[in-house]
Amino acid sequence: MERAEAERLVRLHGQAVYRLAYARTGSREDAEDVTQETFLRLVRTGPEFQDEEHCRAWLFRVALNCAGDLFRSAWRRRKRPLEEAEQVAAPEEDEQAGEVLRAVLSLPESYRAPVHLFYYEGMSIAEVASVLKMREGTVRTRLVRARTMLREQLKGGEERA
Amino acid sequence: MLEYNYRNEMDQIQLKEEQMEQMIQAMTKEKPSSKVVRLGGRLLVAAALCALLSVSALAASPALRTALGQLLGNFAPYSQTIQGVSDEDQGLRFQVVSALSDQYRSTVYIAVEDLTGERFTDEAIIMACNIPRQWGKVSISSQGECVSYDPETHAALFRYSQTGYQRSQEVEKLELEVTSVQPGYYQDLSGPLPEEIPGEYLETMTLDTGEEVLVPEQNPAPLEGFRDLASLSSMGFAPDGTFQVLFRLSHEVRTEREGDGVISVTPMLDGVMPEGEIGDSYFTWQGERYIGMSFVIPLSERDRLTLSNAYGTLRTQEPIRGEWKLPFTMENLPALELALSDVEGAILPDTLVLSPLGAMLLGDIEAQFRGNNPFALCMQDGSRLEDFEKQAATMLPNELYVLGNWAFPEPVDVEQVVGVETGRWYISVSGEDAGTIYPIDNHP
Repeated sequence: MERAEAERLVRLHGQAVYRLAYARTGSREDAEDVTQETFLRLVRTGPEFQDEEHCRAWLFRVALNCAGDLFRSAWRRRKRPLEEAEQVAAPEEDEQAGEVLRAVLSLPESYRAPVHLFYYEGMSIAEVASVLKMREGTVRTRLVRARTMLREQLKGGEERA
Repeated sequence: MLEYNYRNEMDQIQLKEEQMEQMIQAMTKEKPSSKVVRLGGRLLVAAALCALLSVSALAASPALRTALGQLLGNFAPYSQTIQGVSDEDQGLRFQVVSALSDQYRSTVYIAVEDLTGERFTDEAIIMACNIPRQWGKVSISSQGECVSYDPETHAALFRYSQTGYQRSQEVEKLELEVTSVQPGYYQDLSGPLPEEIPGEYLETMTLDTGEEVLVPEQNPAPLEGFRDLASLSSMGFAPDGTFQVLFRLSHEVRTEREGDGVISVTPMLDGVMPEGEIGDSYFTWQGERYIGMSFVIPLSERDRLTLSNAYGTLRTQEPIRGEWKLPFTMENLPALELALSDVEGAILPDTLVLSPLGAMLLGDIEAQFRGNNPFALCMQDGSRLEDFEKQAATMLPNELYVLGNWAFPEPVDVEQVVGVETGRWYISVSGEDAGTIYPIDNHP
C-alpha cells in the first residue's frame, strides 16, 4: 500500500480501532497488536468500501475478530452460562484508567464491545448489531445488563436515558 | 454521566505518534494476498489466470494452463503459484506448479513432461507420491491423479490431495517425493455383457493345470468401455456345473506382474450372489491370452441368472521407477478455529475449523465421529449452504481427532458465516457468542 493511503487510513481510523481494541482486551499492549493486525489485514484483503463509515465498520469487525483470536489461540473452553465463564477473561488493571473505564473493563467480554460502540462511538442499536453480527434484541439486552452492572459498581452514577 | 465520563476517560487512551508511524510503515511493506476474494469474480479469475501463465512448467502447454484454471475454478484466487525446483530423471521432468491449501487440507498440482514423447499417450497415468508432513502419522492417499493430458507436448497435470490431518503451520517447507509413474494404466474399465445366455452347454477343454475351462471364441462379443483392450470370448454353462465367462486380452495389455489383468463379473441369482467358490483362470491359447472366471451355477439356474457389467483394470506399459524430489514452500490459508462451548450432558467436539475451502470438527474420540451428519452453513444474508463433500477424518489414539471433514464446492467467505448446523446442534460462529453450541431448534 502506498504510504499516503496508509497514513490517511491510520490517522482517520487508528485511534478508534485502538480504543475499541482496548475496550475489548483491557490491555494497551494487546490493543496495539490487535490494531496493527487489523490494518495489516486491510492491506492484505484490499476490500472495497462504499464510504468511510463502511470502512470503519469493517475495521471494527476485524478488530473484534482479531481480539477474539487472542483469546481463542489457547483453545480455551467456555462453559455456559456465558456470564459466569467470562470472568476468566478479566483484563489486567490499567492504573491510568479512570473509574468508569475500569468498571467497563471489568464487565464480561461480551458486554464491553456493545458498551463501547454505543456509549463512546455513539452508534445506534442497529449499527452496533451490524458490527457485532448480533440481533438488535441481543444488543439491547447486553446494554441493559451492562448498565445494571456498571451502576452497581459505580454506586449511583448517571445513566444514559 | 456514565456516557460522559466514559468518553472522557477513553479519550485518554490513545495510540502514540510513534506507534502510528510503526503501523504505517508495516502497512507499506505488507503485500496484498492473492488468495482472498474481495474484487468482482471476473477480475479475480483473470488475475489468477495471469499468474498461471507465468508458471514455467505450464508455459509451453496452453492446454494444461487452461485445464488448471478450470480445475481451480472459483478457488483460483485462493490458490498459489508455486515457484519451485523442477526435477528431471529418466526422461520425465516434474514441477509443482500450484497449491490450494489451508492449515487442514491441501491439493497440490504437479506438471510432468514426458521428454521422450513416447510414453505418455493419454490421461491413463498414475503416480506414486507423497508429501511428508510434520505430523507424519496420518494415513493418506499416496497416489497422484492425472487430471489433464496435452498430446501436443506430452505433458500431464496431476493432482495430489491430503486432508483430515491435524493443524499445519501457515507456511510450510515441504518436499514432494515421487517414486514411480505408471502410464497406460486403465482403471475402472466397465462394459455390459450380452444379455442372451446360451441355453445349452458350451464346449470345454482341460488346461495343463487340470482346470476345466470353456473353449475360447465360442460366442465372442466386443466389450464396450474397455477401449479394445479386452473382449468377451466365451460365456456360458459347462457340464461340470459351473457358469463361466472368458475374456481375451489384446496384445497391448501387460501381464508380467502379479495382479495384472484383472477383469471381474458378478452373477446374481434372483438378485442374490450365489454361494460356492469362484474360480480364476489365466492361459494362452493359440497365441492369445485369456482371463476367465467360473461360478458354481448349474444350467438349471439359467432363468434366475443376471450378470453385472464386466469391470477391469488393465496396464499397457511398464512403470517408470525413480526418485524425484521437489522442495517447495506452501502458504496455507489461515483457518478460523473456534473453541466450542461445553453442553451439559453431552460430549461434543471442542473446535470448529472454517476456511474458504472447507470445515472440520475436532475433539476427543469420546465425542465420536460426526462426519456423516448433515452439515450446513448459515450465512449473514439468510442463505444456507449445504450438501458438501464428506472427506477423510482422522482417528489416532491420544491425539486430537478430526471428527468431521467437509469440503466446499465453491469458496466460502468465512466472515459471512454466522452459524453452523450439524446433527442436533447449532454452533454460533460470529458475534459475542461465537463458539456457543445450542440445540438446533432453540438458538438465537
